[in-house]
Amino acid sequence: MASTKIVDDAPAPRTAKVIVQFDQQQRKLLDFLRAEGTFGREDGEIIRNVVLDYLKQKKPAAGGKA
Amino acid sequence: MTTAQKSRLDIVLEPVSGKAIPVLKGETLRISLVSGAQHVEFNCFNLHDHKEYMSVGHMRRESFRAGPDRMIWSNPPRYRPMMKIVAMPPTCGSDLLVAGSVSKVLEAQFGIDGLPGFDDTMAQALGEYNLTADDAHDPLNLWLNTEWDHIGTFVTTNSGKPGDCVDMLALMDVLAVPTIAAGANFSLSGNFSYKPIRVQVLEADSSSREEADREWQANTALKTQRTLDDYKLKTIRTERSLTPTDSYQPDYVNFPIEWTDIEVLFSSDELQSIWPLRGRMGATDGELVRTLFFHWYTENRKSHGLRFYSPQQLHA
Repeated sequence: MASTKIVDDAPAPRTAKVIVQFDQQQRKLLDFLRAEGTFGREDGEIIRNVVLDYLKQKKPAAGGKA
Repeated sequence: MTTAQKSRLDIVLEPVSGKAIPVLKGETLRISLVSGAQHVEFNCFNLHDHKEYMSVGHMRRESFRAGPDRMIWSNPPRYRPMMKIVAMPPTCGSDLLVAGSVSKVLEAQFGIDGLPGFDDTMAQALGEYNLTADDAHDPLNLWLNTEWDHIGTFVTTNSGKPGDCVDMLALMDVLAVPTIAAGANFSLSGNFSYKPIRVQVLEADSSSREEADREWQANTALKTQRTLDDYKLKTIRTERSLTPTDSYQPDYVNFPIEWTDIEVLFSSDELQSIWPLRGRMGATDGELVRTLFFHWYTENRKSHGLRFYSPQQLHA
């Protein structure tokens, strides 16, 4: 008889990976924000935090006029 | 402009004529209505390089109308301030949408082939400086009342009054070319009659020189405002027929575009909050995230330079 393993710990939040393409000029904006230090140091971290800040600014009208 | 400035030139232009007039840095060109409403079509060249000239299209980026404190911008890649409008009365409708009146249109519409057009009048005025009809460019329209709708622009009654004057301060040495607009006797642009205009050049004084210097310094500091020294080719061709140069190699700016893949991690909840925008702001998750990034940057960090006056007036 097969045994069933019961997991007590709550599952870790699942993450989703998005690949975003920036060209060499667009990446300069990431350098500007990196220098500010507010949104993180890694490119992906900066983009993520900026996008979440944008959604926060637009809430509850996210998806409205942008 | 100060009241102490004296005229070094004071002429009246009769219908239908124009005049090419050198106006040196710090001097002020004054155009006045003599006896009532008259549409004036205006061109402007760098006095020392006629390939630099007024770009109405780029003035239009600021507004469909010109007005006090607005610049006469030159054509890219120079994009420099040639003159500054320092005075314009409310009764002077200004317009940056309407192309110069052309005799061809008037002939087609009225069946009269003797009507001059902007192209004819401007060509005659430019000839004094060995410029041709081909050198005329889209005019800045003074005393032209226009409106627009979903189809395009249309002209309304000219509100100009006798004594109205427009003052333009030269920020570089220019060849200014005011002309009495053709077709004013057949349209509301001149309330169906021609009138003369008065043109003066007011001498520079310390105040006007200081203002010209200040505006020039403030508006010519961008690296992408190219000068002739930046040009790959500096020679003005004289042959009319176009032929390729086999050895020519273009040197495009920022070419080729190099893409970098950037991995961005979102929680599933965060990604779900973005998904409703998919399709409207990006076809893929990657496009959507980049679009949202740039909307944020545009609203929170982008400067509003080159005379875009406020974020509210800028359609980013």
